[in-house]
Amino acid sequence: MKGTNLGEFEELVLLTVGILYDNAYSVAIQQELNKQTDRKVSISSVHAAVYRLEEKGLLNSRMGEMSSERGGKRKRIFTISQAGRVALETANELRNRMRNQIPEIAFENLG
Amino acid sequence: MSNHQPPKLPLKLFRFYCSDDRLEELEGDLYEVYNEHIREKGPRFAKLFYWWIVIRSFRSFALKRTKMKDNKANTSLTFLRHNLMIAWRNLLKNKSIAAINVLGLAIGVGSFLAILSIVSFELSFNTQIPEKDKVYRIYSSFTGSFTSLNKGVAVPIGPYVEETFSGLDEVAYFHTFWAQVDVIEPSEKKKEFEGQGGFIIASPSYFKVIDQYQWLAGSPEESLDEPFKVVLTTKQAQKYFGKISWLDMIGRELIYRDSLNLTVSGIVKMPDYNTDFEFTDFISHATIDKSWLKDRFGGSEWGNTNSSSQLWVRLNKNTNKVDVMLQLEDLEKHVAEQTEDTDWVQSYQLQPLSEMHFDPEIGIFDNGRNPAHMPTLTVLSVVALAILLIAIFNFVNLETAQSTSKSKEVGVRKVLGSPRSQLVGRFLTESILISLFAVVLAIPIAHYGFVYFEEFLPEGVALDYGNPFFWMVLALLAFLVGLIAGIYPAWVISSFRPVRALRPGAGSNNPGGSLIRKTLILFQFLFSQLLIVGTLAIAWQISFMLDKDLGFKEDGIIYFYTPYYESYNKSELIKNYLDEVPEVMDYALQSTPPVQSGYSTSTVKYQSEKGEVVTSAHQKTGDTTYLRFYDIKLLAGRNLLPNDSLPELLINETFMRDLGFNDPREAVGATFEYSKKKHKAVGVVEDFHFRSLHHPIEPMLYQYREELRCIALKVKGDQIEKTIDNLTDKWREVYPDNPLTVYFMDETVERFYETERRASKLASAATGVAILISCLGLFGLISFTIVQKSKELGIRKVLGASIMQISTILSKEFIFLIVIAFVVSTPISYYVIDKWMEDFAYQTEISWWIYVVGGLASMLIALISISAKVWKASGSNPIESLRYE
Repeated sequence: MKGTNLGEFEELVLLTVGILYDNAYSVAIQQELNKQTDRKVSISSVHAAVYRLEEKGLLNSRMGEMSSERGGKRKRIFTISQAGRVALETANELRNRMRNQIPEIAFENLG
Repeated sequence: MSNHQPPKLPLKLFRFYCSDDRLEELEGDLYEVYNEHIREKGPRFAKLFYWWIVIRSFRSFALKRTKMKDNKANTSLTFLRHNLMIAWRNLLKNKSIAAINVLGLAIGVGSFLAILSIVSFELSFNTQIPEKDKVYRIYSSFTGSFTSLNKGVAVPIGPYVEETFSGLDEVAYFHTFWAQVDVIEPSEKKKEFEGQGGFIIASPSYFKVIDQYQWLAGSPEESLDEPFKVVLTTKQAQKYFGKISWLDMIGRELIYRDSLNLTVSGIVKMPDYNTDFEFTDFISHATIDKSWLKDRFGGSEWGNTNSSSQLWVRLNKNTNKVDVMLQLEDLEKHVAEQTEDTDWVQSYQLQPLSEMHFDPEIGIFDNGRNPAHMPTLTVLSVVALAILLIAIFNFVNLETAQSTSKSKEVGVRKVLGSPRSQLVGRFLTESILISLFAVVLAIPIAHYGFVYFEEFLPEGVALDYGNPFFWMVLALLAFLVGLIAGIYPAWVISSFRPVRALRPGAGSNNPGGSLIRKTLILFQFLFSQLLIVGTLAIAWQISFMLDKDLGFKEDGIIYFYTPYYESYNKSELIKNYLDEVPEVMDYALQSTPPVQSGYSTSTVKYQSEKGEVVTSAHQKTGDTTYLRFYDIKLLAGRNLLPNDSLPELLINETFMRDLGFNDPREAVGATFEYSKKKHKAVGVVEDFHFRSLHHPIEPMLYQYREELRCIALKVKGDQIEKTIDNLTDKWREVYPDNPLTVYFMDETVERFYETERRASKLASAATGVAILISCLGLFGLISFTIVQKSKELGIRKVLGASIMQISTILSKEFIFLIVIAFVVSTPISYYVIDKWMEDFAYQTEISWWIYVVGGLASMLIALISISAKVWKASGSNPIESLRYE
């Protein structure tokens, strides 16, 4: 495992789990992602991402309740772990710090 | 809002590959997505998309089992790794014991493997020929003036069967044939191939009955329908023409026996499996009528049967054997009408293709393979199993003997909570590992075993390295041997109670299994002794048979046959030549030499004073020099006169007694009916052995005849080679088409006992292997006993025991076992040898001391194999063993 480095998609999923708070299961994550990013994300990509994040320890999970909507199957609900929060903040901070180091002159004359 | 069930098939697929602990949540997700798609895009799209998701989900998250939850498989894997490592370390720790274990098992498995290969090789013959169950050979059997079987049939019978029989799919008649072959090169040069064998002259139907060939060029219908065509197998074709394309070979010319020009019209590929149909050149049947082959194979005689003329049929699907047998009876009647004036009856029988390879009485083909001997194969299999068993016993012995040293390990493991099953698994892993090494080592052993036994093996038998089945059998063997050999020791060792195992001094009390161990050693010695005594007895009987005076002179005599289809006048040329040559001291003519494996008998009727005596007598024919030449004593009367119209005979003593006479002089002049005519006995000769010593001497009569094909020569000992060389030159002048085959009389006699000689070689090899394995076992055991008793020995030495006394203490257990083995094995070997001897009419006396030799030999071998260790132990310094107390 490559430490806690977040991929771009992984970061998006992590953020979505945070947004959905306590209702974050795969299908909901997929829908939220579709809505927020306006791109087509397939359910299996979400699956791959959440289980990987869980393995990295950035997400916790528990089984939810049964519902007839799902043919009587329970859903797995994900929540951000402490490590997940640190990872998100580190990524955010890193991005901001680096963004701030770009001199203003670099954006001039972009035309 | 109603919910739709997702399509079944992809769901099943998903459930199949998805791991159990992820299935519920994932299946639920998929269900939800599916229903959403139905609402938004309709059922059709949803269904397709469901398929797509299921396929896309075939990824690690669905397949992988998380580490925390599922550790059952992992545990057993860890245990296996652990067991393997411990087993490996244990082997390294006790290198010598491990080496003995591996070597002993390897020799056992190697012998087993080699014998298994031979047996399965022989059993595999002809089993894969298509429709083999419907293919039969028709062969002849004769009763009357002589009784015999002939694998061939008279030439006219083939076409007759083809025309009149019903219920047959195909009829193939062919002649086996041999010839020297010349290849015409494009450069007009000739390439010569000497005395090739395995040719047949066949009709196209041969390829339908024996449907084992793959045609690479030409076809069965076209290639053999005209005269002067020949079809070759790929191997033979490459031998003739080298590596050119098959099509380029078509149209090339071959010359058989200098005079038969044939054109290559087809190339066939032999099958990969074992088959007795190993012919290489197939000459078109139509050639017979158009060439000199007609003289040999074109005969129309119904009563002339040659074993080279084969008749094969393939039965219709709905026909069974009996239908054809009934028709064969009609054929017999027809043949009887065609051949009125014979004193024998020809009848015809069916031989299933599957039996051909195993019938020594009929044989396979002229100049073909030798048939396999079923009883030998059975004995071989039994020996193979016995050797494997000895090796396994050995293993069990060594392992249980070591159990005390493993008791501490068992104790600790048990204290730490290891269940018994785990302990058994741990020791089984070790034994399977050893067995695996042994099997690997067994391969070269079997391989070199084959090299050693080459002359005695059927041609082509080898370890089948290319066959995956072979490797599967090996793997299975490794596993099974390890399991069988390891289960008992594992059980014993794992049964120790931890308290006892861990208490100091636990090593000295003998754990369970000592009785079993002794029994197993007993068996090993029993088996070795049986083999030693058996080998000695066989060798004894063979030398007895070879040395026995047969009643006629056999030394330094060579003989040969002039070709039966050549004019008799030509042999006069040979005779004239023999008269001139000084090296030839004497020669005699006869129909067959005095001893031979074939025979013919005839019924004789004699009117004695007490009534009619009917007996069957062996017939011998020859010229008047026979008695002088072979040094056969004439007891009364006179020799025959050189006139074959006289109804005169010589008879042997047994015949005389059968007729009711005791004095040879009285028997002279007796007249009896033989061959439908009155004959007179003009002389009585001393009995001699005209068959192998398996048979008692039977009545024999000797008749004069003029045209005889077998010529026997007496040559001065040191000039045999020169004589044969000169004779060969003369022979080439007279019979340019035939090779000269010279037989040595004493070799002919030796060949009678070929089976026994093979048995002898096999028995000695088996003895060697059994002894070797037992020695290894003993060696291992004694090393172990010494370690066990080291303290005892140390104390004894301190108290003044001599080396001799200590050696006695160490070896007396084994000596005791050997003595018991001797007592048990003697009656068994006596019985077995007695049974084996029943096969011979003339048996050597087996002296009682053969058994003693067997017992002493095994004792000696045992003592030698333990002596070095015992000696070392007796001489060791007691300080070494007592230091730790």
